Amino acid sequence: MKNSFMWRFKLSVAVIMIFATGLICYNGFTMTESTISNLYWGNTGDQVSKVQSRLRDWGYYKGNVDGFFGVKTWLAVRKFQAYNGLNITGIVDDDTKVALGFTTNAQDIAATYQSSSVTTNDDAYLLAMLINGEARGEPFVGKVAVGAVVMNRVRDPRFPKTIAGVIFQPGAFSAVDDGQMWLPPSSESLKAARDAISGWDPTGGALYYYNAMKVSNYWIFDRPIVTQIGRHIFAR
Amino acid sequence: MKRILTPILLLVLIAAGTWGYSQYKQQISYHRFLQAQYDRSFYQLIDNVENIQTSMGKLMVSGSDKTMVPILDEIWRQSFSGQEHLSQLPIGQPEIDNTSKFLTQIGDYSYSLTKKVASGYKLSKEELDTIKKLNNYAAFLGKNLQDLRQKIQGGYELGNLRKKGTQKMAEIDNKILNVSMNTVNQGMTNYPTLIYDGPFSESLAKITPKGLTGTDITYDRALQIGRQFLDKPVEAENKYSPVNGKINAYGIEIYISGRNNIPIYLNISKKGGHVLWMIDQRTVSKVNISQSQALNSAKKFLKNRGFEDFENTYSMKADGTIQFNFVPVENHVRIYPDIVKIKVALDNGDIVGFDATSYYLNHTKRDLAKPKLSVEQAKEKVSSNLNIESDNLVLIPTDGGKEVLAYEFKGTYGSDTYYVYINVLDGSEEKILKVIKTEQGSLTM
Repeated sequence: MKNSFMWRFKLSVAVIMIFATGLICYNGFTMTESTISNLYWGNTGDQVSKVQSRLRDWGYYKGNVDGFFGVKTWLAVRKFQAYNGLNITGIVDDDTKVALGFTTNAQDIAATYQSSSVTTNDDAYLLAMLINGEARGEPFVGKVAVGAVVMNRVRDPRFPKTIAGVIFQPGAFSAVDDGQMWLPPSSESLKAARDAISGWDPTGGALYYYNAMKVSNYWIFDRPIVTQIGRHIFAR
Repeated sequence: MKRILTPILLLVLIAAGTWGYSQYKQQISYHRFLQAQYDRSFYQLIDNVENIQTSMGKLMVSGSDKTMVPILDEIWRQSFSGQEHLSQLPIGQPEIDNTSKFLTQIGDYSYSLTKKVASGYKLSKEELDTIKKLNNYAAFLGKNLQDLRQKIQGGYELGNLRKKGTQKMAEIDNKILNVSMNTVNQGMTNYPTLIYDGPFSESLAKITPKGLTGTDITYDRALQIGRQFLDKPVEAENKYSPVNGKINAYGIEIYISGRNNIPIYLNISKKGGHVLWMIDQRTVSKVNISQSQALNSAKKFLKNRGFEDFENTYSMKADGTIQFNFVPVENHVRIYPDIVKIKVALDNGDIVGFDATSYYLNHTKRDLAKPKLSVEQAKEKVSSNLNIESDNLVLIPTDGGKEVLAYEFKGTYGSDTYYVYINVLDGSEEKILKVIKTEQGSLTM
């Protein structure tokens, strides 16, 4: 009786051990997955594909993700390096890898200090979508102004504290309500979004804007008007 | 004929009915889902406000710093969470303005108190008095929100607002919610003006520009100034709108010869006629010049427009342009609040953006404090983890819009770069900034 109990205990321990080993192996695998070694012209394989798809996502690479480091990839890598102030070598070295968002030698995530992976791209893209939906026909300054209103709201105590919070506040922007926002943003909208995030404000601190022809909330007329850019009237 | 038609019509009727019913079911489920989300936000908002009130009460009877810090932190956390939930409710912004502001500032205030208590200060009588008043407002808000919730429980069809068939019902419900929320909001208007050093303080909303010199100018004079500033052959110019923002200004657009109707926008202050900002709308598609060439071009531009002794502190590349931030250097002190931003096109080195709003808001004659600590003494205050590379004497803005003289230490930890700021008077760590490398360049957070 006692023996059988011990046997069962041992078995369950063994099962747990196997499971744990599997888990660790799996974790180890996923951790090293984004690690790549130096890549240069002529290389082939999985790691090249990863670099290619990253470069393609960011608009530097126009070709297919075929896992072959050829002339197109080389040019894309050089272009990427040129735009990001790296040495223009055409070789995916440590600096380039970090800039591309890959870790160089991540054996153990927890033990060594990990370099930052924060990005403002998501916010810039979200803001660009809103600008595109709200101010597609406006001049560039008018686009920056719409972005600036969002940024001013983020900094104002009466509004949510994040870009997403401000944009998705119920009823705040008509482009969110009618789905116009989900069109792919133009490059001008993206540029305007980046400018607004880095602090350009053509509105002098406005918190509201409206198109005088299509106002649905009449309380907006009580707000002191700051300026008009294109068809939008900006108010505080 | 009739024999065939009847079953066909019957079939169509059944099909339409089934379709309608499934649509109806779907609508109901969407509606319930949405309503559940709103309900959740409302309940959590009430929870947050009640927790704030409880913590405020605890603060009144707490005698030790050890318990005060976590209580203040709790208020901070709950108020920001409450503000978040409030802004998710489908209520118009005017009806929640004051409540939202109250929640933000109560959190902000307790955050500034946390810093005080953590560095060994006792709360003053005035501060305890303010806490008492805020506690009363939190109580008022909590009670009214509870009433409101009971009033609209089950009956409020927030999800129905946009549905035409129930427009009338929705209007009534909408009114209940908005009107009673409005009374809650009205009650919140008179809470005490909070004086503290935090990111959403009252003082930040009401800044008067310090850097404007000179007398008022006319709109026509502004056009002239804009033209001089650009220093390019002008084809046409236009007054687009006055701007009554943080700094009152004239908005003008200027068309440059030989460009297809792509204007440059400028704002020029009414007082003194200073160029506040300039945005050139043209796109840059080629990169012909290097970063250092662009920097030279920016420096020359600044110098020609009377900005002497400026130093480049930061740069960011994007969309074929590069943005440089410049700060003035007075007696070897970098004055960070007086920042001027310049954007250079990387195709021909032209200036396509200029922003001196911060400069004109903040620039003034300052009496800088005499450092009580030497650089070496300050260096000892910095964590030994940081590999210090350089140091500087700088003036930095605080969250609450004040300015502090500090030593700036630039250093690395791992592969990241950090800036650590040590107060020159008492050696306290004022701020830590981390440099984030992005696709476009590096930025500090």
